[in-house]
Amino acid sequence: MSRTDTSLVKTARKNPIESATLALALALPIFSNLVATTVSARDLSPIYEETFDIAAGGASLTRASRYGAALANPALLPFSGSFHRWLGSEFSLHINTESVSYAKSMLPGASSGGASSDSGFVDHVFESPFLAGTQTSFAYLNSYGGIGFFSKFEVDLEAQEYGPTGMPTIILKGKSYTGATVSAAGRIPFMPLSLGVTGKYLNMSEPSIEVDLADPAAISQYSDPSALSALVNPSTGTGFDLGALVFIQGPNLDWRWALKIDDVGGTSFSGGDAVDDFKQVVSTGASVTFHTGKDAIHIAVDQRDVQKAYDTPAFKSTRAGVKVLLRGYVGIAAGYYDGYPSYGAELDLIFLKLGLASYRREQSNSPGLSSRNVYIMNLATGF
Amino acid sequence: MNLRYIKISTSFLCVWIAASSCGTSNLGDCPASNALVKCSELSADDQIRKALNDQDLTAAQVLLEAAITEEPDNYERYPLLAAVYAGLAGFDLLAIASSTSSGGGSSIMAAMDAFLPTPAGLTRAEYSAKIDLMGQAIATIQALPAEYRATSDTDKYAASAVQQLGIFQAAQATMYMKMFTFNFDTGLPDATQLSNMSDADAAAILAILTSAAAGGGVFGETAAATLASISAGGGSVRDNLANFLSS
Repeated sequence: MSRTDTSLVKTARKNPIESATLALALALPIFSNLVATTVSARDLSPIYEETFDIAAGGASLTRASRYGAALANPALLPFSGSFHRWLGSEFSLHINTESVSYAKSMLPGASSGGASSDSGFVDHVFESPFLAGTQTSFAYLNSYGGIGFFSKFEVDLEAQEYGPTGMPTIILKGKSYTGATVSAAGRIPFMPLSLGVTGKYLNMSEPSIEVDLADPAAISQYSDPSALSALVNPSTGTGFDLGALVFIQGPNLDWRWALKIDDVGGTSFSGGDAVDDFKQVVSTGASVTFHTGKDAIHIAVDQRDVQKAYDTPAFKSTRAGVKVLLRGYVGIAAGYYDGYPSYGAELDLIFLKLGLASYRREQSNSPGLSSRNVYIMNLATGF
Repeated sequence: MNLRYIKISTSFLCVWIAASSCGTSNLGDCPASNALVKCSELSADDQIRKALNDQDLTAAQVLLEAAITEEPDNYERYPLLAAVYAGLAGFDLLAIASSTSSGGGSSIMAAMDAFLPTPAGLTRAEYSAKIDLMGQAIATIQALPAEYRATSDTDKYAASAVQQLGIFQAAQATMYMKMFTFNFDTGLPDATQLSNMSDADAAAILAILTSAAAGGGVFGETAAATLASISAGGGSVRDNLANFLSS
């Protein structure tokens, strides 16, 4: 939830951590282990995205939460209402809907005894894909810029009875991103316009494995831990994003137009296992915000990849959503992400922010071909 | 703007969230359901993949046959079509995957039994049609150029094609043999049905087994062991096979 426009009164409120949060947090080491040994080809989703922004359909060019602003559009930084914008850390856990019950069964003390066999996991993957991941960040941002560090791990397992070669296949894709950013922004050359830049250092690996289960040679190849660890040899690269924002503010109505250029001139990677270079992507966004001093409704539409650098289909390049911010400590959002409905909520308890979101991500460039229902739980500490 | 607008908007948002959480339709689905987002037509390969993921093998067969006719040089589709034929024949691909590590039994009948359709409940003609479908699976793989079904090739499709060929040959031989040890009228195993097996049938079965053994792969050794057992009879091909099947 963004606090960029209004100085909202924040009220402390004690809130116990839900048992489901704890349960999934306990499952994290299991997912981390999976990521360490297997990990996927990069899709078009951003390298870092805030939970509340995802809930609002990912339309974040004209309004983004906390550290997400530095990567969504650095030109957002000057419009924070005060010099200080964000200092803190965040952790979010992603898991697809179908795997929640399976993840719980893997926990110590669960009815299955806390130990799940490999065959049980394979059976689960053949029934429904498995996606899990984490995202963390630590950042300091003010209205002139800031620095930040982030990491993102995600593993996606899909089993196809009729795989790419015709035989049953397990397809394993992963993302392992870590990076640091330095941002600068200002209201130049005139007030309604702001410009921003974010420099990025990225350390990435995106292995992708397809194991034909009818081929003993393929199975034995990936039974060797060294063969798996070789797949996560990271590549490094540096690049930068440019953003511009026109912000027309009224007493109850604001208008915003954004232009964002990701990876200006392209971002090249070296070393490791040949991560594809990032192409330059141009995106635009527009939004309208109805607000009082304490509440706001933000309606936004983004058009990503307008020059079709990745030949992004319309249902993925069009992002739209609504954020409703109430009294400074509650936010709810809904939108369309990858063409599917998304929604979520966030609670702001001054130094602690709790967020939940649900969305459906399309892994392919064709609607309905390989989608994942994803739950996200987010915990941010900072102010 | 007063609080009333916020309440109305929040209520609207909650209704949207509740309504949108149902269903799996996408804004990009065709035909287009809205004027704002252009629909994304599925390519031929995407349609094939969707049919396969949905286990709609009949649709997948139609799509693959059309795609191969249109682009006969796109060899990545051949193993898919072969697998679809095998699936339509009742061959359990998933079961075969979970048992590849234990494929080396002494008898091809015992090794393959768990993955093949049971003749029970079928007429002879229906079971024969399934054998023909398995034959189509084999023929589809054999239609690939030699370099696309070679284990020495690093191409994953080529390696998989060899595996598939061996598996489907072993499966067809087993189904063929089972047809002569099953009474389709009573729906029970019946060795007396071996009297219906002709010399040509026996020769065809042996030829398929020989190919399966020569191809190696998961069931190559088992096929070879079965051939050796059959040949140990010392009689004619038909008699040796009949003795093997009745034992």
